[in-house]
Amino acid sequence: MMISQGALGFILWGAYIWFVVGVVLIAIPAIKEIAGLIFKK
Amino acid sequence: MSNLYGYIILAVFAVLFIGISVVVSKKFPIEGVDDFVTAGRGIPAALVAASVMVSWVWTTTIMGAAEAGLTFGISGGISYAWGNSVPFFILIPLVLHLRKKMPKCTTFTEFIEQRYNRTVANMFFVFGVGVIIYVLIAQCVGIGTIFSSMFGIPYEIGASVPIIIVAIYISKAGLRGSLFNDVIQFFIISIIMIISVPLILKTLGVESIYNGMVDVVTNPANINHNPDALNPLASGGLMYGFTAIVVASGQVLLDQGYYSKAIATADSKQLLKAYIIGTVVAWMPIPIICGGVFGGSVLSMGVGVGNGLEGTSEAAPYIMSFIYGGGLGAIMFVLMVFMAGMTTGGGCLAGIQALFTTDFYKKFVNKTATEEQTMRFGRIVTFIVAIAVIIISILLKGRSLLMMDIFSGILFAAPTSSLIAGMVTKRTTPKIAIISMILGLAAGLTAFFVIPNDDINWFVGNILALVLPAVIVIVGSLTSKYEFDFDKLAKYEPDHEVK
Repeated sequence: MMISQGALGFILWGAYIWFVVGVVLIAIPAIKEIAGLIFKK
Repeated sequence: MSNLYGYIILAVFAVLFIGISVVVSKKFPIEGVDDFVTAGRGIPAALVAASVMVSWVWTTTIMGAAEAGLTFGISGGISYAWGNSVPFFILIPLVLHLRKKMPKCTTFTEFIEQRYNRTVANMFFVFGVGVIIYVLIAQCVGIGTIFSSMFGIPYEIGASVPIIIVAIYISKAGLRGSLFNDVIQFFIISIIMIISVPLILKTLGVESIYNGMVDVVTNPANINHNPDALNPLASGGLMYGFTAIVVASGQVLLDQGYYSKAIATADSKQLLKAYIIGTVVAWMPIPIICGGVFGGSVLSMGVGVGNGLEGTSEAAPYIMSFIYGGGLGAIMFVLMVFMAGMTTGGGCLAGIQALFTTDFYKKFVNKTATEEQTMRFGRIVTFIVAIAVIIISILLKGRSLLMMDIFSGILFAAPTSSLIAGMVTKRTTPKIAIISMILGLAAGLTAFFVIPNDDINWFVGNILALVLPAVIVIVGSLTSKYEFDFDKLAKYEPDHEVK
């Protein structure tokens, strides 16, 4: 079995977009929480 | 590249991370053992998610997945991703269950002692310390190799300075210091990946990468010739993925760092959210990227061992230097591996600090110790472990990270079955747990050393180390009349105060 060029592009770019989504899901609340923790004390 | 850059990186991040731990310890003064090892049990989900993600991003995740991509083709990174994610699908329900059944638990060895007995707990303690020392060694070898190859800094310095930095900030601010530094390191790793990956794909082009990989598949004269390089379900990659499950099972389920973070999370709902986002959503694509983009790009360029690379571990640094033209690429790659190693090392040292602080000192050294004395002991052990790891890492200079990883599966997979059974069934006895661990370890090591074929001995060894204990635990539990009273766990009171 040998995948096509389109499938390779989908895997590589797809993994990248997947990663960016994960980072955004963590980064935005993390910044808010750190700011909250720092200014709360 | 001048070694001055390497020394500057080490110095800048030493000041930054130790400085953060000083600020954290002033802002949130440590109130006792529980606060020291669980950060007050009130950390929000996003911080834990960032910490879990970067803790599971090892130097091996970047370099080893790229190496797997170079070795197995497109299936390498994909197999690395699913194989190393499976243990989290076991860990997440386990830690949720543990929090519910044993609310004042801090370490998994405390649970084992209550569920089985002291002997089994001592065995798990040894395995738990062993896993952490192994993980730390892997990080030191990775960072030392990178600093040495990219900047010409002596391997011994590159391998030892980062763990000393981590030991200082963990002993200064406990788990809370580790969590805050993890968030900074999460941003550094993420930014480098977010910038570098499209740059590589745009510079080389998916078409060019694909054509290069087609040559790898079809041209026997290609230095990396592999007929399965474009097969995502290649048997070599699948075998590697199954081995990754075994290897990662021990590394995840016996690493106190993950239990400490789970217990540090504010509540069970946030725990679930943090671990799902940290692992499946944010971590899982990383090895696919490293294997597919880094490893695949190198494959497509006709570069291989003996033709541009001294070893397969150099795939990732090679492509970063190629894209960024040496200087900036080298620095960014080193930063990524440096952060990956530091965060994983931080989680591990926080875990070992928790194990020795809560589980060792009062039981074996000083039964009447105060919380202050107990924490001091935990801090001293953190430094002793760091020094031991440095010495072993120096002795292991030049070893393959991928092979070290594969061998560790045989060493640490055996206890996982009795750990899981101990959580979910009342039938498993301490005797079954002990027998399963001893026989699983013996069978795995025997297969590895006795089978002469190097292409399968590691695979058989890993599978035996995981499956044989599982069979013993299942058969033994089904035929046992033993009934453990889980309500006992709810009444558990540790030696230290839990608020």
